Amino acid sequence: MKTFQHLSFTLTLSILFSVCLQALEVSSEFSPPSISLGSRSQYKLILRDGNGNIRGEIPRVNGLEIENSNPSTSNRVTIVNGKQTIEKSYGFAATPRKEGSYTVPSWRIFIDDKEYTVPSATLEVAPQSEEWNNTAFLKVIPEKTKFYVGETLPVLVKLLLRGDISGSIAGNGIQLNGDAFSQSEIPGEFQQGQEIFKNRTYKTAKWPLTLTPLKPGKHEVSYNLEMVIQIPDERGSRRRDPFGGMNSLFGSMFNQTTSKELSLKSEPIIFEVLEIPSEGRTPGFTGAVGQFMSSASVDINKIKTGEPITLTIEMTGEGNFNRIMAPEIMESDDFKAYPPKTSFTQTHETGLHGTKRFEYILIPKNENVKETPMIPLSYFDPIQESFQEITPPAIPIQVTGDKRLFKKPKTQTLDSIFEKEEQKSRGQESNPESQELLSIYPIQQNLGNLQNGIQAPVYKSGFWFLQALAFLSVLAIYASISQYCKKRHPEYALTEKLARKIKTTLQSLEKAKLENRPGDFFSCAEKCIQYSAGHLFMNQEAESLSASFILEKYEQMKISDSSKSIILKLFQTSQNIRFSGGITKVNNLEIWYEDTLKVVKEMKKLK
Amino acid sequence: MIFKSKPLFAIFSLLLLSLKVWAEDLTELLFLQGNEAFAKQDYPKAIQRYQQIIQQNENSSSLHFNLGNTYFQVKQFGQAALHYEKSLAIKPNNKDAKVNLLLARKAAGLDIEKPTLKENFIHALSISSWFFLVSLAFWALLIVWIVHRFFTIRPILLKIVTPPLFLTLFLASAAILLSHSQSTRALAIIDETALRIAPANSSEATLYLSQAEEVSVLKTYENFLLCETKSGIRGWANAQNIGKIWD
Repeated sequence: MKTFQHLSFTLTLSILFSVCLQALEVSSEFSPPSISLGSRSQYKLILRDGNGNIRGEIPRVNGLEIENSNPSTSNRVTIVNGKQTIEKSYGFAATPRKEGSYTVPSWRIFIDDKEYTVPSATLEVAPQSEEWNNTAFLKVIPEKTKFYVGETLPVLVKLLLRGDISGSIAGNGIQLNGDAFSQSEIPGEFQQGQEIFKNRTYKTAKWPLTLTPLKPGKHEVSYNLEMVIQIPDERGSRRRDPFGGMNSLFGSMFNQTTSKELSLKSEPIIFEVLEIPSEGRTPGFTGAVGQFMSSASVDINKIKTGEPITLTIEMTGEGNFNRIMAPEIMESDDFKAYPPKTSFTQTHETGLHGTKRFEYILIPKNENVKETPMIPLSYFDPIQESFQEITPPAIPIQVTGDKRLFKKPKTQTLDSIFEKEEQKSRGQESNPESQELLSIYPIQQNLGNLQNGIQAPVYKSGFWFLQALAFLSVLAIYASISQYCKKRHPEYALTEKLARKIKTTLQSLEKAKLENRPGDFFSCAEKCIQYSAGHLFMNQEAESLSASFILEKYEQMKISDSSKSIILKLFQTSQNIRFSGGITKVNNLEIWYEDTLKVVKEMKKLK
Repeated sequence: MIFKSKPLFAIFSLLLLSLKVWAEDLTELLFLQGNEAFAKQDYPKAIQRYQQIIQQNENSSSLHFNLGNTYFQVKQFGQAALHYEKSLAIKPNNKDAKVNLLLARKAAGLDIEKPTLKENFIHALSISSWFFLVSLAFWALLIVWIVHRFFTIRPILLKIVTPPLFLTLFLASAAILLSHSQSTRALAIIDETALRIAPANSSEATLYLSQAEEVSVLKTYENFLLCETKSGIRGWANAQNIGKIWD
């Protein structure tokens, strides 16, 4: 591509210009030599007093785009003291990509095959001028800033563009910032105009929209717009672009302009959104907020039972038509009602004005029906801040003759579905009336309790956290009660202490049995019995209790004779060993061990 | 100690709280936007909004119910049935979801079967509720034992308190054990989902599942799931065609 441009430049220079050589001088410069970012300059090649076929390539400079093809040309003749100088210059558009200093180095040029050196030239690019800031504005003009959830609010989004420049919309057009609102569809074509702003003429583009808040509270709203503007160069002549595209604003200049991308953001507006009061809410309120009137009509007023009649309810006025739900007709003994068909005819582009129509198919069930059912209808008036009742009156109708026996419709339940399936499996034809069973239950309006994932609680950390909490609580309860009992009830403290001693002594007993140390064994066995009985002798050390003392107490508690005999034998044998200095021999410690355990167990039970 | 001063701790707590509130607000908003799109019959947008909530790992019975309804409207009955099942997994007594699930199965051309006694028992409460009851009964019994150990409790009182607790513990444990198989339940979300002999697309199909048909997922291998139908036929299905009810 570059090669093609260079060739084109060479050819253009060669064909177009033929300069007579008379002490030829070659120079170069940028015009203007300093610009701000976003503007364009011209790289000028100047030949003084000479002409001929020119060949050469302008060197490339990083960050600076110089258009090699189709240079602009100019001639200047000056006469000073009778001496004539002819100056011919070639201008090449130069566009910097960022701020800084750009130097085109000296380069060689051939004029009629004679080589000349073009001196270097420097362009200074300053940061973007603040002047751009006043080029375009985006404004949001709401009718009011305090309104109700569900209320539809007209909002005008206005773009102001300086009168002397042109531009076009880039990207996706105007973009709403604010997630608490739903916005009406952005119109494909905007309204154009002109107005004076800050003593300056601005071209305007307007988008009439509506916003509907979804939740109460204070919410901020602003709009964004990306656009490309073209500012004409001072020397450029203006012509209208006859091929302006869809997004072209006010026509674009296609001759000598500077392009710039602008990102506009409107001043944020804070809306106060109020909750619709729950007090005074009437049964016919289905979300309508605004000012409305209602009317009712029927397509026919003389019918037979079982024949359908269409009841049309219309709501006309100004408000949030897109959020008005159809009022329900309750099933009665007089009518069978079907869900209504809803339509809307708007009389204003924003959808704020118009007529909403609900068409109910009703089938009278008997001849006694004299009028259509009353359908309660009401709306919330944000100006009066109250609910307004607009229930249309019932329309008289005449019902004659029985066309067919009217059956009470089945409600859609699990049982009715199973019943229908059973009928089907038995080969019975289903009743056409029950076709409505295929209509599913409508969506639910409350989100309900949220949970992370759908999984059994064992996989959730929260569950184990609760279990740990419960465990700690139980532990704490146990410790507290235990502590309380120890402090308040000395007998409990003693029992606990003795229980621990019994446990350790039994361990020692087993060890002595295994190591066949009769002395230690009987000493431990004796202690086991003493500790087991210790809680009955609060004021006495357990170790000092004798067999007779223990048996006396346990006599009242009806201890078994075998246990009595074991206790006596244990104490006796222990004494014998102690006083014989361990000489007494005892065989079969295993039986003694079993007996000791049996006694301790019985004493524990008797406790 | 991370927080050396009380104000710093309070600010941190407030920040956490406000983040939570903000996240809940956003979820609520997406739900409302989904409902609004549904009302306007803009079903792709409604699905997108509901799915955005699920992508945040937030689930509720109503959310899956509404998503099921949206898929029903676009005649994706497999997806619809899957989300009704999810709705019921969270809240088994959602009667609307039960009805709509049957209608989705019916619309998908499947036979409708009455639930068995076992299924009715398991689905009497959500799995979370059964776990809650097990924990409650267990810890209550433990506390009764502790109190009994330290204090004299009248035998009549023990007889009144402990049997219901043991019964609750038994029933809830039984429900959890029986519902263990529920955790592998899945549905075919598209029609003619192939069950193949081997986990490869080139493998021969042994059976084709209708959308919304129920299977149990036994094993996972790369992008394939080993599934078993109610009639006991096993085969490998592409994971994209099978929707698991439980995570």
